[in-house]
Order: sequence, then structure tokens, then C-alpha cells
Amino acid sequence: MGLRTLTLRVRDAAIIGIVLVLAGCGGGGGGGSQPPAPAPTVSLSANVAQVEEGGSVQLTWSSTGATSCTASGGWSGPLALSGTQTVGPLTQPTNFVVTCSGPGGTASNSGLIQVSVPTPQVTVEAAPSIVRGDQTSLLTWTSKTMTGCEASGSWSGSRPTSGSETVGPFTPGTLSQFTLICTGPRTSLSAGAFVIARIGTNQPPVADAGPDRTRGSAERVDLSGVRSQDDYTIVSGVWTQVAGPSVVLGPGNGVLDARFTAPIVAADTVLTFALTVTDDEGVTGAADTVDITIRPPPPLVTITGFVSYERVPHDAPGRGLSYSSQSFDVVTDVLVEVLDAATQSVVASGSFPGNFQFDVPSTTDLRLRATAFLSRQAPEPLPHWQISVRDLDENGAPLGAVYSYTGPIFNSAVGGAHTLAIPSGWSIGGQLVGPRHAAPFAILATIHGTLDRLLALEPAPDLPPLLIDWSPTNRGGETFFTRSAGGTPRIILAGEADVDTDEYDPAVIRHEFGHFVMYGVSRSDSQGGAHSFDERVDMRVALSEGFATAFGALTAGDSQYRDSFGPAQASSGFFDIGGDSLLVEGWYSETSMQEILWDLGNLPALWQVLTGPLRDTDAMTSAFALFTALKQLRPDLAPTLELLLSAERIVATTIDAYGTTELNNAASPNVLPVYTPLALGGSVQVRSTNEFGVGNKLSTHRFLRLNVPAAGNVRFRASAVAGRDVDMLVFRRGQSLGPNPGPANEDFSLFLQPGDYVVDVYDCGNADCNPSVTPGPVDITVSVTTN
Amino acid sequence: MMKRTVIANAFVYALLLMGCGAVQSQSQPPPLEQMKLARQSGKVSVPVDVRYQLRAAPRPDQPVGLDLAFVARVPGQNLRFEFPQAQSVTIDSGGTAFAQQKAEPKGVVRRSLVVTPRSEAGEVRVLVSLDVEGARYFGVFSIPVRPDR
Repeated sequence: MGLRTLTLRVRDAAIIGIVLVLAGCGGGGGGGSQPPAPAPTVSLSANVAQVEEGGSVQLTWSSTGATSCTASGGWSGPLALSGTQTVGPLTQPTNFVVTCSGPGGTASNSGLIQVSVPTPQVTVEAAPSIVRGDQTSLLTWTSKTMTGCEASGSWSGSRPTSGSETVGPFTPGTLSQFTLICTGPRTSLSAGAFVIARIGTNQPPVADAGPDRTRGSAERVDLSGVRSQDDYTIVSGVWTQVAGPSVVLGPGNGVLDARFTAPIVAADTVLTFALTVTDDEGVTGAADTVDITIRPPPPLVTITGFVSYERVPHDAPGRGLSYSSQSFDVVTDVLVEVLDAATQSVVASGSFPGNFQFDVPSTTDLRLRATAFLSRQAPEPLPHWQISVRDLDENGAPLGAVYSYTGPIFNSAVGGAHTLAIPSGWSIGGQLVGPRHAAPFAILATIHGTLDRLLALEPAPDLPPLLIDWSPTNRGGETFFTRSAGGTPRIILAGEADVDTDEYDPAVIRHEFGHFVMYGVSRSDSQGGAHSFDERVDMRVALSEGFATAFGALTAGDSQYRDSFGPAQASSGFFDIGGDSLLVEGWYSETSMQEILWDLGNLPALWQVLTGPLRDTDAMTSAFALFTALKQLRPDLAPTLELLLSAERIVATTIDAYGTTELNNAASPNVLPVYTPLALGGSVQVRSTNEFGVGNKLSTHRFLRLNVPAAGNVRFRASAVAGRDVDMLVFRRGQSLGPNPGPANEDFSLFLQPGDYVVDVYDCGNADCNPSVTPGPVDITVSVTTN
Repeated sequence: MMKRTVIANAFVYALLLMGCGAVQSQSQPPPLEQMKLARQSGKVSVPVDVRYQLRAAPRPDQPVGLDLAFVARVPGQNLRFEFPQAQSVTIDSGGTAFAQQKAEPKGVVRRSLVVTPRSEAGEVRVLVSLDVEGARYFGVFSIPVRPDR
């Protein structure tokens, strides 16, 4: 039953649909009546929209559905149903109308032709204008708007407004002038022509194609007929090739000159060209030829050029990358190689601070390859660096070679300019249209610019090798600097399209490079980890992150930090460290660190501290160690620095490397003192908390300061209530001395030299190193004894 | 354990049958303190805590409910979050982008998703951004949805 109902509905719908369609056709086909005849149409066009007074116009018309047509307006009478007709002369603007009728009615079309007043004009020409012996010349003259003319000079009397007349013969050696003055209703004009009667007979011109000579392959060759001669004047010359490999002749500097580009030949090859010249009496003389011998190229030729990459700039803050503004920027000092296109073998290679230049085999198919690799190493004198961009696995092992880009095949020919342009892979509309070849080079270009700024501070840094791990598969957000013990320092940069890409975020790259520089020339005791500007973090993290951001800004001279993200990279995070964020201020704030360093604006002084006292401080690397050293090293900066520290709620006048007099406790009883004093044979209790978060947040780790007066064994014990996992590390100038932490309380001995030590003690639940321990406040008792 | 899984799955199937974009919870959302913190990326991140709780133990290729809570740590504007596509977990419902003009530490924005883990290393990622003090911060958060095989 249900099926039958459905069938009927479908059929009904079909019937209704047919009726509607028929109605929509205007009733046609519904009965036996004839359809109405279509209305006629008519079109009209003219070959010109305007004619000079007295001129004619050509009219073209056509019609449909008509049985008759008639003309009216500027013309009249019956017309064919279509056709063309010339009408004139016209003396005033004229409207032409065509009307056509048929069974369906009448239609008309019209067009207005404008009539312009002609410009008065008189011309007189003599042909030939040069005669010899008893030769005559034909004078021809024309005029417009004139009513009569009068001849003077070598002829005389009235003349019609146009005509022709034979004059001569002339007395050899004379010049005759034929002048015509014409008068019209509006003005009078004169014109004239000369006839020169030369003595004797004309001598044909003598062509001179110049001396035979030799040129190199691909060179420009100039052919000159300037030494051709005539008894009077040569007015034109024609060059033609008569032998040798065909070349394209182009115009030269003068009328008797030509030029061409020599073909590239394997052996000496002769090209022959002929020159003919014509004098002012129209006589062409015999041809002269010249042989141009083309030499083959030398075995080696020089190619020069530069490497550029397609850079995608940022749009306004918040608006992400501007693919419509991308352009090619030059990148220097990367490894450039010349490959034999046939064998892929390297023919030449090098790194260049500007344009590259290579001596390569001539007339060979080659390719240029740029590799994302900056290197200056021994035996070159300092400075030293070695930076490469490659795709690495999570352990730092290469997943492929250092990124390189190979350009198209070209022929070295006889040398010359060849550039290598590396595309971004993004269209100007922001669509991914190819591999992102330019990304590694964009990263290196940013690093290169930062290196240049560093070299201005320190001409001879000895930087350790750096690997930059970038890949389109690197996850969004996962950008960081890492240095594993014994491994090569590494910057990992996000490359995940539509989530977070960093290759075109210079501020992000400079930030991570700042971490590398701090590691490479100084010291950072930061444990890393997630962080945000509003968080109170471990003082080592605060300094490390704040320094990295400030370093990037100072080297770029730009306090704006921008980081593109989101679908189509159309958004960006941004902040300005030149401003003053009030949310969190103190020695535990990365924002405070970067604002102080930026406002101080003294990168040379900062560099001095980094490469000296901060590297060797007995304390942990923190605001206290850095700014104390800065005050000591540069007393002239102390007043400014104290103002900046005070503004960020950090102890200023009495600051020391351990923050002994710091009073900013982040409104918590679990923060101060920054370092708890610990004496040999003594015992203290400190609290590790998750009050500010877990992991690298403030007071998850607590620090103890220990002085060892004499060398000897020292026993360290740290304990908390059962169920906690207390860890303890002993540091000497940033180097951890202790054994690997155990799963509960700690108890170990170390043989220590005299000096100051830092004991870092924490609960693993709070420090996020043992997921089975719930974060919470934990009192830890630490004792040290000699044994 | 089995009973709890069956009840949870029944709940998920009920959600799926509703077929809307944002899943309507039929029970009270979990208290914040019971929800885990999503792991955030290493870059300077957004001042927003993203918390999550799975409604059942994830099973391979089986939909599971996921409760999310977004808590701004500081007052801000233009709180946005979206869920990048991933092969390891498909988002069956609730994965549309979200934007809110103002965000306050007191205001918790909740979202319920139904997700299906497709691999052992399954995770849902959330891209969160917030404007604060004339600046904009963003972060990428990861939520593990890893079935035991």
C-alpha cells in the first residue's frame, strides 16, 4: 500500500511538472493556432563615425523578419533587406535611418555621422628632385580648402588647386625652386619644391663592408658600412648574410650599420655578410662582403649571480602572513654548487658574501644548487660558526640531507649571469602550490642577519655548530631550543601549515637563536618548558626566555614580536616588549626580564656580562646574577638599571647574585628567600609548591646556598613525608654534580672542592617529573654533613 | 569497570544520535578540579588553561566523549579556539571553532566533543588565542586520547 501511494505521487508530480513547463513556454503548442510572427530587427553600421567636409561614408545594414526596407534622413529610397552603400559628399552632420517592415511589425535603426572641417593644406613635390643632362622633373601639387594658386620662383602664373606639370630641362649646376601660394576662404598657404641639376653623369655608390675580423662566441658583432662612398650622398644600406650559420641581423647605430650576436661554435666558423648601398639619386652600387670569423669559447668560462629566496612578510599585527606581498630577497654565504646536469657531479662550489662567481666548463648544461648551510670553520680564523637546516628525528638524527634547492638546467655557453630563485611554494592568494623550498633559506637569512649584528659586538665569536630542524611536518607550537649532553645544539621550528609555521616569523627564530647564543657563549641553567607572559616561573626560566626575546629584539632593532598561526597563517600573536606589561612583575617574570633588557638597550654591555661574569657565576643564572654583574661591570649603567629594576619590582640598590635582599615574594610565604643558606653540618626545611603551577613554575624548585670551606666528602640528604618523590641536585657554576635522582628521598655523598655550591631541591610531583605523585605543597628537609 | 564503560558508551551513542554540531551534555560537566590540564606547546603561550576529561577509556575506532574547559588566567578579549585536523583522532562532533568577545578568569567556557581515536598515539589538539593588554597570545594544546590495545 505504501509503495503504491508513493508511485502515484511520483506520477502526479511528473504530470504537474509537464503542465508548468508548457505554461512557462507562453502557451505555444497548446492548440492548433499559428505562433505570432517575430518582430523584425534592423542593424546599421558605418565604416567611420566622422568624415571631413565633402567626404563620404560607407553604410552597411541588415535585417531579420523584414520584407522591405527604406532609407530616410541623410539618404532616401527603397533599400534591399541588407547591403552596403556609399553616401556623400557630406557637408554637415547627417543622421541616416533604415526602417524595415515585415509581418511582425516595423523596426528602425539610425546612426549620426559627424562632419569635420578640413585643415587647410598645400603640398608640392618634384620627382625626381635631382636631374642630370636634359632630364625633366614632374611637379605635383595638392591643396585643401583652397580656391586658387599662384606659381612663383622658377615657374609663374595661376595654377589650379591641384595638378601636375613637367618642368625642365635645367642648366647643370643650378638649383631651381618651385613655389606655390594658394588662397582659400579662410587662409593663404605656400609650399615649394627644389630641383637640383647636377653636372655630368651619376657615379654609383661604392659599398665598403669593413675589414674581415674575428670575434668570440656569443659576442655582439657590429657591422658598419660607414666607409662606403658616393660622389654625393648615400642614403641607405642593406646588410644580408651570404654564408655561415644563420644569425638574426638587427639594426645598428647608423643607417649603414647592423649587428648580431655571434653563435656559439665548436670550431672557428666564418660568417659572410654583404652590404649594398644606395645614393640619393636611387642608384644602388655593387655589394661588398666581409668575413667574420667566430672563435669557439674557451674551455672555462665565468658565471656569476646570486641566490634569492621568496620571503613572505607579516601583515599588520594580528593579521598573519601577507602572501600577496611576498618577494625575493637575496641570501648570502650559503653553500652554492654548480652541478653537471648530465652527471649531477659537482663542478664547482663555494660560499660567497655577495654574488657567487664560478669558473665552469663552457657550453655545458649545468644546474645551480643552494644548500641551507652557513659555515665558517678552521682553518679559517675566527669567527667560527656552522649552521645547517635539516629535517631531524626526535633524537636529532637526520631524516635527510641538509635542505638544498636545485635550479633549472642552463647552458654555461660563454659565461654570464645566472641567478637561482628559490620559490616559497605559496601562491599570492595563500594556497600551497608547491614544495616550500624557500623556508630553510628564509630561516638562514634571519639567522644571518642576527649573526651580522653579533659580529659587530664581538668580531671573533667561536660558536658551536647548530642544527636547525625545520620541516612541514614539524608540529605547530613545537618550537624550542634544546641541547642534549654531548649532542649538537638544536633549534626545532614548527612548520605545520594552518596551525603554526615559523619559517617566516623572524622574531621567533631570533628568540630561539638567542637561546643558542646564551648557551654557546655564556650559560643558561634554565630547565625550559612551557611558559607564558602571565606566569610566575622559575627564575632561571624567566631569565632565559626574557633574554632570548630581548636578544632577538635588540639584534633586529624591533621591539615587536610576531608569530603567525592558524588557518592559512592568517592570524598572528604579537606583543611589544617596548611597552610595560603590569600583570606580573618581578624576578620570576620573563616579561620583566625582556622589558628591562630592551629598555636598557645596551647589547654591548649585555654581551660583556654574558661572556664573562654570568658564565662563571656561582649562583644560578637569573635576574640576580645577570643584573648584579651588569652593575659591577658597567657602573655607568647602574642608575638606569636600578630604575628599571625598581619599576619591575626587583631589588635594585642592594641586588646581589643570590637575591639576598629581595623582598618581592609574589604574595606567597613559599618564595623567599631566593636561596636558603645552608651550612655544613646544618639542616634546613624548604617548601616545594604547585602554588604557581607545576613543572618550571616558581617555587616548584627551591634553592639552597652552600659554602664548602675545604675539600672533602659531603653527604647530602633530602626527605619529605612518605609518598613523595624528592629530588636534589648539587650545582657548581651551573654544572650538576650529583647522581641521578632516586624515586623517593635522596641521600648521597660527593667529594667537593672548596667553593660556593647551589643545591636545587624539589618535589617531583610539583616539578612534573613523576606523574604518579600528585602536586601539592611539600616540606623538604635538607641536611649536609661532612663524612 | 565494564559497567561504567557500557554506561559511558550508551551516553556517547545518545549524543551521536542527536546529530548536532555541539553535543549537549545530558549530565553535569565535570568539576574543573577533576579535569586534567592539557599540555601546552613550548613557545610563549596563551594565558589560558585548557582542561579536559574523557568520559570513558578510549577504545580503538570507538567514539568517546571528551569534556573541555577553557579558563582564562587573566582578563582578555577575543578568546578563540579551534581544532586542527588530525589523522590520529577524528572529531565527530563539537569541533567547530569558537570565539568569545570577552574572557574572565571566573568565566569557564565548556565544550563537549565526541572523538574517535584512530591510532595509539591519538591526541586532540586545540589552537587557542586571547588578546591581553593590546597584545595577542596563542598556544597549541594537546589532549591525549590513547586507547589501550
